[in-house]
Amino acid sequence: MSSIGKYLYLEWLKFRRFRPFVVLSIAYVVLLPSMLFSFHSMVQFAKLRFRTPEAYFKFPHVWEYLAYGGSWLAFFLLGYLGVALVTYEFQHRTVRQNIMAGLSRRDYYAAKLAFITGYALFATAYFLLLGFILGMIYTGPNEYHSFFQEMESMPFRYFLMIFSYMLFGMFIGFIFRKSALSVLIYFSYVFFIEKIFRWVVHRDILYIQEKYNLYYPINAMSDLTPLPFGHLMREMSVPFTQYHALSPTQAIVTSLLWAVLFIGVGYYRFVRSDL
Amino acid sequence: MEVLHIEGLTKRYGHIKAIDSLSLTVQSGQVMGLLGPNGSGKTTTLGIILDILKADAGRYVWFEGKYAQAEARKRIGSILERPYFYPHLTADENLDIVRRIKDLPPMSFDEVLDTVGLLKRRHSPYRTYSLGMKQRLAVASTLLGDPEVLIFDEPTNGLDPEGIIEMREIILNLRHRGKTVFLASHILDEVEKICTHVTVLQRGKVLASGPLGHIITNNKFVIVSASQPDELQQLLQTMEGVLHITREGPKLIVEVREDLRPEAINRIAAQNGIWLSHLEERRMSLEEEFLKLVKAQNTR
Repeated sequence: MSSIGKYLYLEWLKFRRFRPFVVLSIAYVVLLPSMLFSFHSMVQFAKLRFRTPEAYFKFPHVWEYLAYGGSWLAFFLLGYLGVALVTYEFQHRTVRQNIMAGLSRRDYYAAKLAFITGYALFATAYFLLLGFILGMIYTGPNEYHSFFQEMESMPFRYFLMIFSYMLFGMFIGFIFRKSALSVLIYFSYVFFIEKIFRWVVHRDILYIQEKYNLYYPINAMSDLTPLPFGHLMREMSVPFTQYHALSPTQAIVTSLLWAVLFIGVGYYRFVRSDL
Repeated sequence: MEVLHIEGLTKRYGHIKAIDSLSLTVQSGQVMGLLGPNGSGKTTTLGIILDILKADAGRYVWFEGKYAQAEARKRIGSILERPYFYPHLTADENLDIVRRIKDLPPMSFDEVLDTVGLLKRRHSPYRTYSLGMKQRLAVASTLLGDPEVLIFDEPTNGLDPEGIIEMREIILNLRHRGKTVFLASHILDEVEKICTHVTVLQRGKVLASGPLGHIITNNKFVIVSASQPDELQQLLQTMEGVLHITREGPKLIVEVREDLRPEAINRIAAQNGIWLSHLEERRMSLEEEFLKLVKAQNTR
């Protein structure tokens, strides 16, 4: 087995029965379709009129709506899982045991990255399967051709979105190490610290005037799979108002740059400090 | 072969130097005791050579540099401070993780778990274990793959008397099988019973290092007092087997050779008409041993 395969399997053995891993993974699997169905119930309850009824279940837009739901789950569940996968090992000092037993710090770090990469791939595969099934059920047979329309780089963007949230959680874990503190910082950052930064730096929380405002990490991650706002407005016959978000390409490039920074800084801290 | 070579290792925590230009060498087959009071830098030293802590200066080389650092650690069984295992995994699963990290072939853990008496609880999660059981599992994990070198940090800390004896037997057995053992302890008695060599640390510095007999004298002390201390002192000074006498108030602290028994002192005193009011045999405490070493260091 190649060494990265070996370390990936090692991470699997460590965490396959780790409660947060199991619970959060099941929650992701169950909640991803539920998000879309709850949206559907909301639309029905509010008696909103869509030009194309149930457009969010149909090709090609099912991808965007489902991905948007997935970004909320990544934000709440999988980023937190990223934190837990690291802080659990610091809390119980198993990181020390791994290094003492003969893992190099570089390989330990690489194993963690490999694990979230694998996890994000599975999460993306599930997303694609679910989107495919829903689309097949709800889209009329003569519209199947729209399957890939507007899908653009969606599989990659979805993968990068999941990976980025988990990586950010892991980064926080490697920097702060203590479980409760890291979880607190993760949620504080994704909920309001970034917004405070943006306000302090740009005085422009609604991102109206200044474009730089959009390049912050959490904003870039969430713009990978944004709410299909334009489509939603058109469907509900609301005159299109401007919606400020990064384009898919901008979001991909920005998220990748942040990922490099998080990986680099996390690595630098991990290999240089006491464990 | 030089199993471990440490040169000029220094580690600071703020203004405090936990270890200060520490150098020492461990040869193959030695059982090296790292002896010192709490806070003398024992665990820090072990932490650095296991890559858990980063030194501020100095270097260390395992196996004469034959392997990369991580590869070298795969050939070492080690315990630092306390056992570190995944709480939700069983003994078998935890050992399997260590085995995989060490690149050892698939193996049955029956024997090693039997050695440490954990066979019955092997399928319970680690978090349900008592402290003694956790330590036993740690010992089991150090023995995996029968490594050439073993590192133990305060191996008998927190064990019950039975556990202490078992632990010492395990280490003595390793010694007899020619393994190299590096062991930190603040218990002089433990080091004396187990080690072939000793390095004494004080405030992060090596005070002395060498074969056990050269560093720690086996001499014992007899503490006596009588109503005529001056006469008693004069008398004992001429006695065969008495090495040194110090006066502490009314008491005489008499350093004697191993074979001199306290009743001999009692007899000779009585024969000379001096009746002892106090007679006590004692080993040097670690503190006294240190004082002696410090004095020796200062007069050198």
